[in-house]
Amino acid sequence: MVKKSLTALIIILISVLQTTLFQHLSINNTTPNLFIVTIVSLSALMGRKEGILYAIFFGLIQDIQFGGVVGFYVLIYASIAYVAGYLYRNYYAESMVIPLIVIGLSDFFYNLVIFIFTYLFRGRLDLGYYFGYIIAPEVTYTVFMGVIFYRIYIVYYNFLRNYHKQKRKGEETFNEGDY
Amino acid sequence: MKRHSQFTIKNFMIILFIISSISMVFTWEMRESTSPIEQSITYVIIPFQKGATYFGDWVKDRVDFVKNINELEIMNARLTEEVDQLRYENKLLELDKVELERLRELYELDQQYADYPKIGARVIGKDPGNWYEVFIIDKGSDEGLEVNMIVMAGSGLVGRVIEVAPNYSKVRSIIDDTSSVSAKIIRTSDIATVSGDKKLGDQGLCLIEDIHEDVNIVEGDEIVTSHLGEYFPPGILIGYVKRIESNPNKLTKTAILEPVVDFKHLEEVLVINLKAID
Repeated sequence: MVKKSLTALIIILISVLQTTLFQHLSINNTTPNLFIVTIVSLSALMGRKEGILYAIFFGLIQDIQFGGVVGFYVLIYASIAYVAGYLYRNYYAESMVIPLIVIGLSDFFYNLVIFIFTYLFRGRLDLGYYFGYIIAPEVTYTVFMGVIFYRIYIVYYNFLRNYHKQKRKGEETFNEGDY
Repeated sequence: MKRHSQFTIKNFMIILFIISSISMVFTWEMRESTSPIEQSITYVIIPFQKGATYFGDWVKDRVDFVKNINELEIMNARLTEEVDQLRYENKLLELDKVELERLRELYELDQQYADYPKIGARVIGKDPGNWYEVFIIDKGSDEGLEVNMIVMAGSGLVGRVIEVAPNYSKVRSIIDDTSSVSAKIIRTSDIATVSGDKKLGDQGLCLIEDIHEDVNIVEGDEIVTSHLGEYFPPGILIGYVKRIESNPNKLTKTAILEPVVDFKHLEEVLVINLKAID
């Protein structure tokens, strides 16, 4: 129950921050993508299922509020969550380098897919410009935000783990993978 | 056990892929009004966005105040000087204004759109990505907004409403890469197309395309919406010509347009109800 409400809180908080506050924090028209930071971090820390859940909600919010079709961003985010899920339990959660690299690669992949499907197909071929002025700054800024937000998600992850440990001591009904 | 759970996630991804593809196909051309499912999600998010935007604006005002306090003294001295100069210029302009009014009456060139019914709205959210210039405003069909209504800020064109829900609407601005508007060069009465371009949009500019080679366009020319436009009524100011680029291998010229609207600092907009005019 605690976990469900915290999940809902994170989804609402991040999507509101992304569309309002972070638009004011944009540097030279570049806004970091908190959705990708959240999806990759939580998918790596808490498993694929968790990541895909966030991916579906963030994707739907972006599709419905800003997208042209419903399902496009859901697919991109879900694929990112799926791939980031390979990290789950395969690295030290406290080491930041690997998740940050994955965040950067995911953001690059996300922008590349958007460029191919919505710009390239309309005959905008200037990949060099789009790479240099939109994709690269966004990747940099997103990785930078990843440094801050990944630490927050580690705190969240540890909080849930301790919470369930205490609960398990009391009830003995907790099974692994339930958090 | 572990194998089993991985198997289901893989299946789940396949199902998700199929569902998303189907929904993409079905929503391709039908995004003008929102379905109840879409509305239920936005009913949760929109109030938070409204709150965050109001709070954010408040905080920004405070931060700006503190940030600028050092510059204020220098600015004050400079502005006092400027006021004197402007007072003098204002006198001259007042004289010109009287003349202008007389001439306007003479030509009946009163601004056409001055008395269209308007609805004020606030920008409460922007596209999360960096690729499109689409934003949402805090008024929807409850306030009488409809798809294709035009959106202005100050005296210039911002864009048009592309989707309405009860409590918010989505606006595509003219600097968006997929937007194009039929326009007229007021001085020569020639028709051109104002289209958004991602490169220029980052600087808050647009592109004017399809200007005929013979057209004598100069920097500073006033561009308004044309009578050929599908959505926009004629005579709305879009902006001024900033730079002209000739492409020798084509039969048309292109130019860079500087919109009168400051797209980087867009906070309040006016939605114009054209139905009420008819």
